[in-house]
Amino acid sequence: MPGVRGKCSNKLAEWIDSPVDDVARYVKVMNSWATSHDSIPEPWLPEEAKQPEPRPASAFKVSPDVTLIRRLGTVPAPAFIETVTGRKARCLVQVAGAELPVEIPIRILESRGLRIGDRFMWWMSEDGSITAEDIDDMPPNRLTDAEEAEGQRLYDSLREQVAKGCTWGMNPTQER
Amino acid sequence: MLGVHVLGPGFGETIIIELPSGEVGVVDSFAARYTGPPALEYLSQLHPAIKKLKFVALTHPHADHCMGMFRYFEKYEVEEFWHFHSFINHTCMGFFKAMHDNKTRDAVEKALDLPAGSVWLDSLRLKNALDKQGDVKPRALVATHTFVLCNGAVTAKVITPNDQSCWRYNTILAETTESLLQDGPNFNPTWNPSGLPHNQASGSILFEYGQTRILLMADAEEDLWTDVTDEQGDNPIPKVHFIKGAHHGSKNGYHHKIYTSAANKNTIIVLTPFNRNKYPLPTNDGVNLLLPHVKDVYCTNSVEACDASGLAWKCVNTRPSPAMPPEWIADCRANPQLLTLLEDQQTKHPYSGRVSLPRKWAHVCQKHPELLQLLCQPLRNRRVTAKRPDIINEFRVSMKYDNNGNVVDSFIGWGVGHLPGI
Repeated sequence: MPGVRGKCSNKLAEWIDSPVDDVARYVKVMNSWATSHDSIPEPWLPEEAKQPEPRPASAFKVSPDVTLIRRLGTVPAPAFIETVTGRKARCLVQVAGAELPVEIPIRILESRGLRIGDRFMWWMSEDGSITAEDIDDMPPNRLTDAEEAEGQRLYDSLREQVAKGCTWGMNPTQER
Repeated sequence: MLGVHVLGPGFGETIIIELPSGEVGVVDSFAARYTGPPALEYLSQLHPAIKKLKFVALTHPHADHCMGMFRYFEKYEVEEFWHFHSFINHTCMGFFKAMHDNKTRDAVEKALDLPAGSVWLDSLRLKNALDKQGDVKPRALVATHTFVLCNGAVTAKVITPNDQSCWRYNTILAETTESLLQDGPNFNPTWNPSGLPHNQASGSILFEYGQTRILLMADAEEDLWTDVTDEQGDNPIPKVHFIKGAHHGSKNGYHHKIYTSAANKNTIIVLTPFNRNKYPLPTNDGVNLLLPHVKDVYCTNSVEACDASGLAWKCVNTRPSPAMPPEWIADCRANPQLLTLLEDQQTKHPYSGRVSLPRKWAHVCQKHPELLQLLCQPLRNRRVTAKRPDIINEFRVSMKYDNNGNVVDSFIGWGVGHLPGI
C-alpha cells in the first residue's frame, strides 16, 4: 500500500514542521493575563457547579400528570408488559373486560422507564398511533386514604362492640 | 322449582339459589375493587321486583368468595346470614387487621391483584351492613346444622366443616396470629399469613327439595371431607343431581368416598375456574378424577379451564356475534394474519397465540365492548376482568329442578366449557 503510506508520511511531515510555536503561544497568553486581567476569566478559582438540570421526564418512571391534556378521542386502558421481542413489546391490555395482546414500540415504553412486568395506563387513540404522552402510571395498588379511614372507623366500632360484648356469631354451637 | 345459578368468570364465584316459594338466596360473592358484584346485577335482572333475600351465605374468607358481599345487604333486606364459623371471631378479624397493618396480602388477594387490606375492609363493611339491618338472623356454617326453608319444603344441611375441622382452622388461625407478634409490638418478619388455609373454614351445603338434591362444596378440601367420612361413615351424602365442585376442581378438593357417595351418572358437576394463581384451577388430575363419577362436567370459563387443565373443554352453545366493522375487514385483507384473531368457527383459522391485536382495534373494542364477541374465544376469555359487559350470560350455568330431580329449565352460557363423563 505505498500510496497510503505516502499520504501518512506527508501528514506526519506537516505535523512535525508545524509553523505554530507552542512556546511563543504560551508567552503570549501569559502576557495577556498580566496586561488585561479583567478581560480574562479566572480559571484558577473553583468554578461554582451549575445546578443540575432536571432529567428529562422520559428518564423517570412514569408519573401521573393530571394537568396533561389527553389527545382528543383517547380512552384509557390498564396494560401490562408481557414480553419484548426485538423492538416491540407485547402488552396485555384490559379492554372491555378482556386482557388482549397489543404490540407497542419498546422505545416508547423505555422512554417512560417501563420494562417487562411493569404496568401502565395506556390512553388509546382511535387511529392506533401512540406517543410517550399516551402512557401514564397506574394508580398505586393500595387502599386509598378514604378506604383506610373507613376501615379504621369500622374497626374501632367493631372493637367497641366487642368491649361491650359481641352480640352474635361467637359460638356456633349455640345454633345446633 | 329449585333453581341454581353458578357464575364464575375466573376470578371468583357466586351461586344464586331460587327457592320454590319464589324466595332467593345467594352463596358467596365476587367483585373487582371498584365494581359491584356482577351476580348482583344478574339478580336484579332475574328478579327485578324482589326486595328481600332469604339468605346470604359466606363460605370462607377468600377474596374470590367474599368481595362485595356487603353490597347485597345494602341493596336487599336479608333475612338470614349464613357465615363460616369464625366470622366476627376476634382472632379472625384481628388476623385481617394484622394483615392490613403489615401491608401483607394473602395468596388470593395477591393473585387477584387486590391491595393489602382488601378482605379486612370488605369484612368490616359486611359487618357494618349487617349491623345496619339489625335483625338479620346469623347462622353458622357448621356440619349437621340444618336450615329449614319454604316451610319445610326445602332444607339446607351443612356438610363441612365439622367440629374437628373448626377446631383445626381456629387453632391454625390463633397460632398464625400469635406468631405475628412473636417479638413484641413489632411484626415478626418471618410471619407467613399466606400459610393460613382459609379453605379449612369452607362451609359446604346440601339443599334438598323432595327428591332433588343440590350440593355446593365451596372450597372444602380433602381433609374436610375426610373429617366428614371419619364421622359419618363412607356414605355421608345421598345421591345428588347437581354439584358445584369443590375448590375449583383441584385435586385437593377431590375425595373418593364423597364423590362415590354423592354422584352417579345422573349428576352434573359445575366447576368455576381460578386461573390467577401459580397453580391454576381446575387441574388435569382434579378433573380426571371427577369424570368417572358423573354424567357431565362443566367449567364456567372454558378458556381458563383449557389453560389450567390442558383438557379439551368444548363450548356447548354458540354466542351471538355483531357485524364486523368495515375497517376490520379492510385490515384483515391487508394482513390476513389478523384473521386468526377472529372467531375460528367463522374463519377456520385457529388462534396461534402469536398475533397481537392492532392498536386501533383495541380502541374500538373499549368503546364498543360488543365487538369483543368477534374475537376468538382463547383471546378474549383468558383472564376475564370484572368489566366484561356480558359476564352473566357468558360464564353462567343455570339449572332448575322439580322436586323429583328432573331438569325443568337450563341455561349454559356460551363461555362455559363441557366435558362428558367417562
